[in-house]
Amino acid sequence: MQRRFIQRFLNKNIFIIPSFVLLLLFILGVSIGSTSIPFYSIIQSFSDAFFKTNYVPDDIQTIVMNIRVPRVLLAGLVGACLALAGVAFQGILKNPLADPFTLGVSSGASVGAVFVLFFQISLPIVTYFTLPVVSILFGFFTLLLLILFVRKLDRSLNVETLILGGIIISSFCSALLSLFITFSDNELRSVIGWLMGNIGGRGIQYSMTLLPFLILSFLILFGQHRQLDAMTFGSTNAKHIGIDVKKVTYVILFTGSILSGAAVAVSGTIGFVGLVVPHFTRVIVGPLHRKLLPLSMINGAIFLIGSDIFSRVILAPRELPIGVITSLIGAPIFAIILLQMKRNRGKR
Amino acid sequence: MISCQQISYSYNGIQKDIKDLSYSINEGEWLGIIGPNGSGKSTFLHILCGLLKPLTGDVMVDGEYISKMSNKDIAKKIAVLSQQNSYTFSYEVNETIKLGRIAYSSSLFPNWTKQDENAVNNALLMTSTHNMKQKFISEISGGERQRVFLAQAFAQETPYIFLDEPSNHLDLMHTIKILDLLKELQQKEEKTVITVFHDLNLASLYCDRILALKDGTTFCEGKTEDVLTEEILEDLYGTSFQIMNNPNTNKKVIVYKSNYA
Repeated sequence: MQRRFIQRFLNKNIFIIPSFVLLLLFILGVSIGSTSIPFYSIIQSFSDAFFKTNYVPDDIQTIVMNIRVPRVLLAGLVGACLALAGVAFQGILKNPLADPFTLGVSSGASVGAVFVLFFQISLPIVTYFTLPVVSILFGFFTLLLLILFVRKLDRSLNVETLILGGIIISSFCSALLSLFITFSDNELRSVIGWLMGNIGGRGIQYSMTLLPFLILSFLILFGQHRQLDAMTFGSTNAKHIGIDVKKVTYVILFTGSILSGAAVAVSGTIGFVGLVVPHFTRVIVGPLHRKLLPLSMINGAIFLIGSDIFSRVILAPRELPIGVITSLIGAPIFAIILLQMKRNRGKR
Repeated sequence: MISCQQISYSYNGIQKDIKDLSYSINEGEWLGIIGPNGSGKSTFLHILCGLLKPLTGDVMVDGEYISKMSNKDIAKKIAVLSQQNSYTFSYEVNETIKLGRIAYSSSLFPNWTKQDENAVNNALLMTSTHNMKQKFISEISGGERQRVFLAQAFAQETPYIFLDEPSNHLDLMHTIKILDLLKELQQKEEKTVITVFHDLNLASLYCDRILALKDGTTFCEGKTEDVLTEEILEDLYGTSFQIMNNPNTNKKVIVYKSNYA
């Protein structure tokens, strides 16, 4: 009853609170660090950067515009991508435990990314986007392989079987990654190191690489929001009410791969964001994808910016990899969702 | 009219589960499909509604080949209530029923029309689910949930309604409720209803016509009272029956015989 009351209230103003929280965390994320920067200095830095004013000293300006803002922006965008990917995979696979990490899509995409870095590949046409494009394709083929394999075990793509398949693929991919690292020199080793899930020390161009993929994918997914709703009731029912199941499935799976692959290409594997965020967003607004998609995107940004701040302050001046924080939160929630599902199945 | 010519189907590519089946379903009638396990009842129903693609032959729905129709076009002609409906996330009853209107919305710029609203309200009223429309489908009972999926099928506003063994997961009260509802719809709005029946007494109560399948092909076909005879049923199922007439309703009552009673 209480859950419904909260849902009713928030349904009317679903974006107000999250947008406000996002803005607050953005400012907090820029402000907090080894040099803490007060709010008005942040505003002044922005003014200096965009209106050629001269309020703040250059060193503050550099910290804000070249280090903090790119970092917080990237955290937000990666969080949004991973959360959206989670929503897409969960809807189409009817599996609340599906996310880029648990399905092994992230691992597959990292193999692709490391492959590009290791052999210094640059593809024609996509040139600047070689890294994300290869990551996306690797992620997508990993996903297809997973589904093909799990279909052989169990035609209905059972929740647990799918995750088990994801573990097999993840293990295999991380072995491949270790192999690459063993064969690479020191410089490359650090490059591969930050593929393990890190968002610090990246310039604004990483966010600019990610942004087009995020916008495109969101538009595709939002255009299919009713189809996603229908697919959660199973492909047979979806087909009976007029969904082109095959087409929708491939479009959604590929879009999910775009989001996960692009995120991995800029920040490495950050686990469980796509699991935690949609789960809580569903508790707040219910499962309708019309609301779930945009709100998960905002909440994903909130979650990752928050985790990033946390990873910087908890052991300051030392910094934890952000993936540690998300896994510390995500793994127990994974367990809780699993328990809930078992309990519900008992009731049905 | 739905008809099919020389349909065959095989699950494994070797053994034929449906063999050269041809049949025409009359409009406005209630057709019951009966037969022993493995006779291909459900397979045949799935082919008729386009879920399975036959190996040979094709199904015609109102003059169009079903293999040439999009899922959307099929969903405007045929609504199906499956044996078992699963859900992953708990939607509101209202939202679940609204999904039945997807076939009528354009995929790029969907907008909710007055006609959609009427269809959903109608479906809510007919299935008496309107008092639970704000509830989540995880909060209601299995019987109520089946009614919600029936409402979703009604919202499709199709001339044909298919049911795959409707009594399988329902208790008697809910089964009769749902079948009565369909009877009313069939008589008032001249819909065509096609059901797979395990329970011969239910078939006797509701069907106008019966198609009996055995080994993937037509065993016998005709008016309900002509098919439900002791001889035909004994040949069909390989066990003994006794058929009586209910003098009040003039419907046949099928009694199973046992060696011990």
